[in-house]
Amino acid sequence: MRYCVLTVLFFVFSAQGLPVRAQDAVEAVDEDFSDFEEEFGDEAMKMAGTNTVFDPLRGYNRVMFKFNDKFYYWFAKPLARGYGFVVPEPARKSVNKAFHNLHFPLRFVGSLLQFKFKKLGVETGRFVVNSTLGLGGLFDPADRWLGLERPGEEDLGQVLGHYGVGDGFPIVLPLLGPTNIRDGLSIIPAIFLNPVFYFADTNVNLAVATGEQFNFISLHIGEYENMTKDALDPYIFVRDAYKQNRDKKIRE
Amino acid sequence: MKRILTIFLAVPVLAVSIGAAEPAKDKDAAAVKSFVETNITNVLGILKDPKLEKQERKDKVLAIGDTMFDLPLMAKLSLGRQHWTDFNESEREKFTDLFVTTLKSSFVDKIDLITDEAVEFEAPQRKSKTKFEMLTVVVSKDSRYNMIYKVVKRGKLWKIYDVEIEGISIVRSYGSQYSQFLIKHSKAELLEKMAKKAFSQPEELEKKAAEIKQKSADRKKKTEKATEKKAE
Repeated sequence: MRYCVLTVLFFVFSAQGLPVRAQDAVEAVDEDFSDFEEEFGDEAMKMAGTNTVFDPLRGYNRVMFKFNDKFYYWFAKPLARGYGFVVPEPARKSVNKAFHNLHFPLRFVGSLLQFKFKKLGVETGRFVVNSTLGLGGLFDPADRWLGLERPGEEDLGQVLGHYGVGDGFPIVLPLLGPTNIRDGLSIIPAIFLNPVFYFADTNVNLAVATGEQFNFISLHIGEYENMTKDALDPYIFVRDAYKQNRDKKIRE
Repeated sequence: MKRILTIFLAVPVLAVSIGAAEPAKDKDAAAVKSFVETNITNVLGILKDPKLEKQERKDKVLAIGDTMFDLPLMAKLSLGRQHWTDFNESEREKFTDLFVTTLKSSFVDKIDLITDEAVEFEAPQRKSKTKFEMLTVVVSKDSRYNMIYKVVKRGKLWKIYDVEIEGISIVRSYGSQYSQFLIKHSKAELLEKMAKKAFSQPEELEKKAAEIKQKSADRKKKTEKATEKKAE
């Protein structure tokens, strides 16, 4: 009887002991992983929103991602290229700056709602100087002459994130690209912070927004291509990159 | 009395020892700063040197990249502990090779995008005994973006083990793609797909370039023939 118990005990202990020893060996070989656990361990990857992402719309998202990708290559890019060929770069840069200046109300409200008063001050100063001396924002004398550098962007999705609202799950919008539920819904109230909304009808608004995007694309041709080219799975890459980038902006 | 004396003695001793510890820390920070700064300045110098041929430029930049980055470490960290232990020796080697090739070709591709960028360097921040993060700001056409170089001491040398561009970490981005891929696919399939990505694309591009050249040559011939006929 005693032997019986002993043998059972022996098996129990040896069975438990084995995997532990194997793990020890692995850990000894791979000190690197323990050294970088905080940054790239399972827990850290989860925190960064990579690896395991709740993506219930995966199927739709992939289709829409592909559609946007084709739209970019077949339509947006050639058009933006043609536009870039006709309009010299300095002019396009100025247009880009003017649009940035136009979106001042959104950044103002975003900073205000997060009580970021320093940013608020810089943004307001920049808006006043650039709208007047900078001819409606076409030029950036606030940066050039006064050293008021453009601070990081603020929008309503960031405000929600700042107060702890999670991002829901990823969703790819037609033409607008990857976003998530939180940021996607935040686009709607942001429309009311766009000054063009109060001065023109819907068609003009759409035209202006489209023009802004084309101007932007014309200044950044090659970047999307380069980013997605090396990706093993471009959809996953863009989705996770979006999340990492947004989280960084919310932290700031 | 004795106690007061020891306190009086202890204070300067403590002060001196703290003071001595400080420069040692500063030394590391200074080393990291100069490591990142010189390498990036050199790369920018090469990119902006109009005398260099395209291939020369690539080779030179890659040579600096090799000394700057610990690419095998990045490969390992990207794959992650679980999968790395799952891979055998030859699979690990193959994976590392493919990862390094992918990263290098992506690095080289991005060279062409760099035109009028300037880089501002901030002071490195200590993250642990052997790790630093150094923020740099890249000022480009119409925006400024943050690039954080993560540096670790490996042996006696400082090496970059990750780069974060506007919050997007290279190691994390590659890592998440690998782990998502391996949920539904085998190790062999991963290596195969990586090899396809790493090697086939340039060939495809070369083929296309050759086709285009051929077409334009044909067109030239045609127009020449046409003009000859007209002349006749």
